[in-house]
Amino acid sequence: MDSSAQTQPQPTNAAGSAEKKNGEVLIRLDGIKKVFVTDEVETHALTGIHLDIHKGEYISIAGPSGCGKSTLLSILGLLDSPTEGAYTLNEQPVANLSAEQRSRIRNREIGFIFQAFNLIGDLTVYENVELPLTYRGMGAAERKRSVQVSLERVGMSHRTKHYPSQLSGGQQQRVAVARAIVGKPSIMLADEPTGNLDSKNGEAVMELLRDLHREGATICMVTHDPRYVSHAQRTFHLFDGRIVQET
Amino acid sequence: MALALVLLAGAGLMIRSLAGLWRVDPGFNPHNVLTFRLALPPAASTTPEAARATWHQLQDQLTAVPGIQSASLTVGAMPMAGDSEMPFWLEGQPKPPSQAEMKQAITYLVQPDYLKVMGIPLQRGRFLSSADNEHSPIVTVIDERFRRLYFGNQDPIGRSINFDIVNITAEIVGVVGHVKQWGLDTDATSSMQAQCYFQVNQIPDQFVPLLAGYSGFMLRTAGSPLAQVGSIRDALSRMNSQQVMYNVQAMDEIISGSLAARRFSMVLLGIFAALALVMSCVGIYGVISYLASQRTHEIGIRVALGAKRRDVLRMVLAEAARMALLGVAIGLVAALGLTRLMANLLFGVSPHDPLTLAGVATLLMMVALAGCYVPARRATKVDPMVALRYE
Repeated sequence: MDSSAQTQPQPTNAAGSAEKKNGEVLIRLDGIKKVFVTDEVETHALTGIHLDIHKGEYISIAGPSGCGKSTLLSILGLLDSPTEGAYTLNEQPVANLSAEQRSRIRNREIGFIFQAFNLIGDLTVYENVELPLTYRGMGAAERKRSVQVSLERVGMSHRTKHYPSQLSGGQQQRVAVARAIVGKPSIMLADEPTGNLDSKNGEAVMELLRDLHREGATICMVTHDPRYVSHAQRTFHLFDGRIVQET
Repeated sequence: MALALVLLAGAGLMIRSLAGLWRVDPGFNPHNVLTFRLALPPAASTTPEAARATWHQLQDQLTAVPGIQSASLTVGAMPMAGDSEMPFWLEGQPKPPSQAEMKQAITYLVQPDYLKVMGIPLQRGRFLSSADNEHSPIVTVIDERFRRLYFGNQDPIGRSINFDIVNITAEIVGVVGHVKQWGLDTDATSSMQAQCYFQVNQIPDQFVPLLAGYSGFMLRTAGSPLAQVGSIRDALSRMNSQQVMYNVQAMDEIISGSLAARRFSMVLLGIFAALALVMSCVGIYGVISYLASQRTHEIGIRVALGAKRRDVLRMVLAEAARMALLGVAIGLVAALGLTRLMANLLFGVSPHDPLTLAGVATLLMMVALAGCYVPARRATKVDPMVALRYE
């Protein structure tokens, strides 16, 4: 565990403790709010989130269903925009970025691992892992090298021509991890990565994330499984859209 | 799409055929030419002299009508409107044993201004004149096709032709251009090509009363020919109220009418092709809309991984293009087989005309891509947050 990990609750501001860390700040959230409006009903999904994530850090976001974990992760992954507040990624404010610029950042800086794997069924393992590099405009030879390295890293290089439906859940999630790391992103966002796996496969995926972290990856994981919360250096507990505790 | 391509290919070939036909030179200038048939009063054709006097007077009266530039009586054949043939043999050659074995020539019985009215080019010698009358030796003018068929490289001027059926021998005094008597399309393949012209005044006396009942007029007008009909009718009525003009037509109409069957086929094919095109467009719109909606989740994943809007647009359009190409390929194969069946409707264009097939294939591809552009644009606006929850 990082020496800066807080043991005392920090109900609304987790940035303060993070600033005690020596590492370079990769992500900074300042007063983030997210309000969904449907049929004149306002739902406050996130309220006043302050959060710093440093390079090379492994953090987890925990909390009960509906507390705003996934919404927070979506904002971190530039899939959604906050209603209020400032989000800075790699010292660059993202609020005024165009859709094109956000796509570029998602492609180059962020790796996604989803609970439901989200592999594309019509593409082979190789093509699924290659996809982010294709959108980057990388040459075929370089893509091939990167995909092979990535698949070897997750132990799936022998399944390149298989389709997702021919793989077990654990194997699919390993392919999803390979896809997330293939572009060497600044940060990996994992949304309940073990949610659809049995304990053995779940443990294997978590071990993989731990290995990646040891190798220098920055990981932000959403989970409500207490067994995996402890894998992170810091854990932010969300409740009703607020960070109520950092451990 | 395949059916649409076959129909479009058919319509395209018909359009090209008609366009080709409109470019065909009929051998005369049909613009501003009015034609009509004329029923003469019985007294006008009781004797050859009376008939000839009436014809002469008619030409004078009609030429005097304001807006009429030239006029000619015509008996016998009229280009694309009526035919009249006579068997013949050339002077100096043995007479065939029977008329059935003689050559046939299309015969125009006209007045000297006919060439001016019709704008037919004079190629050699002279045309018929007012000096060619019932008292002078019978002369004839042949067309260029007659000359080529029966005189080859020899000069026909001064040679004579025997027309056994009316028992005359006529000396050739000139050669004029060929007129497409049988229509713009079929004239070249018609078995009867040779044409000859006679002065109406030189019709043998015994035939004059008979032929007077089949006379008509061709007039060149300064403006729209049909606009002159009222004043012509007035002039004829002033001359003799029993004279009746009928079957009034502009020459342009006659040519247009000769293409009516082809035009009808083209319009019919065009309507079906347009319907098929619209249905293809709507069909591909529906299919691509459905497929894009089925791929919402996938699009969400791709957007999350960094796909830009243009990447999504390209992906959906590429899928539509693949389907359209398959339809076009099947349609081209079908068109190559089926357009052969309409070969006899075509003119100057092959049933497998590559330009037409490429043109309709391109048109169909463009329509198909236009049809799927809306669903493709919609797909680019997929919210990845919504899409990733969409399973």
